[in-house]
Amino acid sequence: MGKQIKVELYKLLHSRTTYVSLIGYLFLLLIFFASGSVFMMVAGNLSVPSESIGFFKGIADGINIPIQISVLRSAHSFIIFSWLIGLNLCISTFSSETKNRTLSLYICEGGKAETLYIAKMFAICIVTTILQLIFTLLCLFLMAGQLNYPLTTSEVLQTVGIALLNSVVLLAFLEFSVFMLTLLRSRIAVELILCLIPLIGAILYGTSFAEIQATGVQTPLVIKILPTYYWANLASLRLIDGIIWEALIYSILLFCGAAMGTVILLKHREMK
Amino acid sequence: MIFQMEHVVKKYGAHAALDDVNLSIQQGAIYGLIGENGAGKTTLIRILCGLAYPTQGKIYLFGDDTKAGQVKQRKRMGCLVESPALYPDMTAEQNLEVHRLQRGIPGKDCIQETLTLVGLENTGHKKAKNFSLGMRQRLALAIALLSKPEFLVLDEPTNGLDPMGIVELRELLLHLNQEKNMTILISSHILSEMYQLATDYGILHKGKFLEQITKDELNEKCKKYLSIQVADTAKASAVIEQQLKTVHYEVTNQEIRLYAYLDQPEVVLKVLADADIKIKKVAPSGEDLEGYFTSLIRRS
Repeated sequence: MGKQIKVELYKLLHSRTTYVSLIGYLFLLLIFFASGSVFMMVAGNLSVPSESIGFFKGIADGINIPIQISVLRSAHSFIIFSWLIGLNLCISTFSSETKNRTLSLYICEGGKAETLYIAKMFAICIVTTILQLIFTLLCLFLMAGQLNYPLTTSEVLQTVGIALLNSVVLLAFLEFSVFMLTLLRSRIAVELILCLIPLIGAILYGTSFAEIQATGVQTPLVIKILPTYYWANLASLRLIDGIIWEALIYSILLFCGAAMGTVILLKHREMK
Repeated sequence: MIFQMEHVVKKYGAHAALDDVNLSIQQGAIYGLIGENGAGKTTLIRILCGLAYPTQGKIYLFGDDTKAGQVKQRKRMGCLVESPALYPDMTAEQNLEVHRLQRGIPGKDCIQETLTLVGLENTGHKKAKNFSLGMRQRLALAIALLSKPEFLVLDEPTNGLDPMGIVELRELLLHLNQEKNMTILISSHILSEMYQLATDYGILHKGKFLEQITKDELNEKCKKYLSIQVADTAKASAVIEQQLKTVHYEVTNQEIRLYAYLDQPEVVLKVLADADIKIKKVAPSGEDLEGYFTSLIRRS
């Protein structure tokens, strides 16, 4: 397995998709730098940080929302876009193995599809987490620089912690996307479904946020099975109601469930 | 025995892509798999390579009939199945490096050696996606040869190769077979090429395995002869034996197949004419692999 992980990292290093992803992150960083104050998919009482969710960039009033909160929230705000880069990297990388027939060749020469899949997923998890972390930290430093805010070590560490948690949720979603890709065998269908559903979830969460307790079981359930629920809370630093544990449990369950489903499909299905 | 199929059936819904196929490939053979489009060649190769599973029947790979065992045995194989499987954003060298790391081959020398073997040593930084079809085919062959496999499986390897490329491939495969004792399974539409290369042939038609035949047996069946059509075959036979002093002939219906005097038909004509035998036709005849294949398909 270690050998195959090394191979997958080598493939990522020489893949055009990786460089497209880097350009995507740079482009986002440019937008982040150039844009002013932005609310994205927000809901709740916006003047009270603990009562609002969503993605806030550069929102501070100096009274209810201090500059510190604004800088920290801003660092995570662009996860609303950056998850798409991770999704594209993951789906492109996996689908190219089928499209180029390299997965078939791997099996022809005595490899197991599930070994390649696990190693590739591991490599993508490493690369995506590193890229997400660097991106979040760059956003943090840019925002702090723009607002002349002196960052403390604990604030940087808190940002790293939340960025990692956001990445864990993202990785579970990526694992789910690989499961869908293995099941449907169509990159276009999977990308379309997976690009739209989380955004629909965010809109649903935003519109029902104020009266979510009164919406019964279904709406919160639908909202909570989508990653944007966790990102909307974590990015707005609304770290209440056990959201960290919720995010971890959600990620572990989704990751393991999707991974098991994928391995079963790979073991029992013939290659196209 | 390198590979064996026993009563293998492969169905896709109600359609049988392979129907009760029995085949065996001996060590050291160059096995030519012949069949029209849709005959089942690729299905057979996909089953051998673990990309598809038989609906019924058994397969043995290096004597192993278990699924897990066959996965291990496939490490002794090199494959080129259907189209070349390459990483398009990588150079030829990088493509081979992936496979070197994957197979745990120590040292990078094997990469240049293999590229030289297939004539791709000067491709430099050119990415595989910019290669011509022939170059892609050569690179795929290099990948298959990288780990010096004992059993090489090639599905239509001549696709996209120019005439010189086909000749070079033939010479390379013969060299690998004769010098390295590599067993080769090759499927191709180019029957003249298969005839020059293979030592054994398997003929598939609409999923059925029509015949397995060695090159010697084929040569025997496809022997060249003089086809002599006469009114009285009995008298002509007697004349041939007495005047031409040969018994290398066969009589079928109104035709005598004479396996001697192939270069001297005028001598045969003169002898028969001198004996007052009415001659309808004298012509050199005999099948090649293409003729044999065509007549076998028509008979089935």
